Amino acid sequence: MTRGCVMAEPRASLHPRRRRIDGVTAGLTLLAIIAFAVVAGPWLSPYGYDEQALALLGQPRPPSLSHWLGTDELGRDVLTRLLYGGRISLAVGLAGAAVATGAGTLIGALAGYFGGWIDQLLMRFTDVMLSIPALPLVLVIAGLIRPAPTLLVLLIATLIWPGAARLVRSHVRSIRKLDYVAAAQTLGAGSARIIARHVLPNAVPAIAVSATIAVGGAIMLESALSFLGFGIQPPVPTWGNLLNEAAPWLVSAPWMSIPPGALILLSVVAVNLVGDGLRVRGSGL
Amino acid sequence: MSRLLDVAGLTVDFRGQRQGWVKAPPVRALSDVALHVDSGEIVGIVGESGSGKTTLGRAILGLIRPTEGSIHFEGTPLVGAPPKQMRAVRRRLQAVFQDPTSSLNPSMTVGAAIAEALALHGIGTREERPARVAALLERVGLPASAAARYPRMLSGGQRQRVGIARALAVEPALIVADEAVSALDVSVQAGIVNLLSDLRDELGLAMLFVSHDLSLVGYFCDRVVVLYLGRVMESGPVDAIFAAPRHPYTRALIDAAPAIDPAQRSTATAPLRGDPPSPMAPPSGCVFRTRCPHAIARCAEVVPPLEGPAEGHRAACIRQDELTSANHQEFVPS
Repeated sequence: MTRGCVMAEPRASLHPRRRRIDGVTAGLTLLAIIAFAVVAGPWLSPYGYDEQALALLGQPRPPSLSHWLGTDELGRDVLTRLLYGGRISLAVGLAGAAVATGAGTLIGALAGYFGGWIDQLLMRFTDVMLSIPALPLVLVIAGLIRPAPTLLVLLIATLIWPGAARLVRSHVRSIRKLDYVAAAQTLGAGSARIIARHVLPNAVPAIAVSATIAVGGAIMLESALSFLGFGIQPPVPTWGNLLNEAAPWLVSAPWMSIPPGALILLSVVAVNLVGDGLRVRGSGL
Repeated sequence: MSRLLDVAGLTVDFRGQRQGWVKAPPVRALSDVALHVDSGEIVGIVGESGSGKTTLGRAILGLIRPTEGSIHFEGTPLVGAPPKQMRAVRRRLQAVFQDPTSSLNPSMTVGAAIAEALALHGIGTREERPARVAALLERVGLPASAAARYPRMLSGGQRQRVGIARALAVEPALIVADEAVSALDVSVQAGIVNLLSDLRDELGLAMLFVSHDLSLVGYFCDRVVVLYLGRVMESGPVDAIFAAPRHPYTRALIDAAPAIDPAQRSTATAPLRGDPPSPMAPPSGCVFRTRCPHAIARCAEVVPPLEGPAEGHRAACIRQDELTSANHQEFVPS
């Protein structure tokens, strides 16, 4: 009986597919859990992110039944601040990565498609941007102006887009040489149409990979900035400035520093798992 | 018969690769090439790899900008033509490419690819197009249901039929077929060649058939142009060239083509040895002299002009008259 079923679906018998969890599934699951927690958490929590329990003022208190991850030295609930901060860290990271990927794709596509002096101009500019050391630049800018979230997003995007531009350019260059581009030109399609309909759709795997790399980079950058005190300003928490606040208590109150550090790590690992999995899927199957 | 395509003095240089600070000199891919195609005619372009036959096809399609020379299509000059004029020409001048896998966009369905051709030239309304796509698919021997498929779901021969349908969509007068069957299995080749041949008979389609397969060209084409290292060696009617080639290179090519009946196999000349010289440093005078069994000192001095007894059949060889008559004596027993 089972044999008959196998005969009916020869593909299933030739390529027995063991259920394996690849990076994309694992990464997306992990991200979904983190996203759900940071969206629902603060909403379910009985505390506000800047609500102080005056009785607990003075020094951090360890985890207890009423405060699962303890409180900080100002009597604020660590778990609530952690999840609320995750909203901002993830939102800034995702937005920064989205802007960076968009800009990188546009510039990479133009450079790769047209080649010649346009390529030279755009790619030398990309090289210049890539060679600027990220942190000193950000520190200077953030020192001059107090960054609002929008500005922070743009700042992060400015630092990340060159990587995306390079990756997209190299893919566009190889796609551009294929005959279906020549066929579209022979049919009289314009450059904009060819890029939009024939080149970019086939560069999507590469763009997706660079987007996930960008998300990881953006989350790290946001955390680094906030940790150094140049990002989102307290009392609004982000994972980065939570780490900053936890720094003096590193040994005496590790429940303040470990959770935000772990969540930064987990989120970046999750996004990179997705990116790596996409790359494998693109090349393998 | 009206003149569709007229190419004169076509020269294409490729820029040399920059190596560090030193820039290599340009490579001459085509040199002073002339040819014409009349309506309803199939002209074969033959030559070894590196002879410039693909470059010639691409230059005619406007994908490569020629360095010198002119290309006229139905009387309109194509070199340096304004985009608007070029668009009108595109509808009459189409292409079928070598590799049917890379000539179809993998992210577009077959139907979308053909419909795009229609849309680009405003043929039919949006509602009419699916029916037109179906008719085109049936015209090239595919079921109308193929429209919903992606290229990866089709075989090589089927993909090439889609490529032909896409080219036919805009009702061209001339199709440049660049090695259109050489990537396919021999049995599939026959089907595609027959399809192209039917299209010529039914639609009066003219074709520029770029190929390295001499026997296919002999079967399929009306006239042949033989290229070697970017120059025309010989051109003329298929029958005349196969019966009495006037250029040693053409003769060598014909002799090298496998014959099914060993008795028909010619032993007149030794097979060509070695590879064509590098186009970066072509020989002086006649470019073929380094491999020619009949080369004499003067071959290194002058570039042989394309000339011949009849206007239709010409060869670029300074010894063509003596060699042809010598061959003649060889072949006809007295």
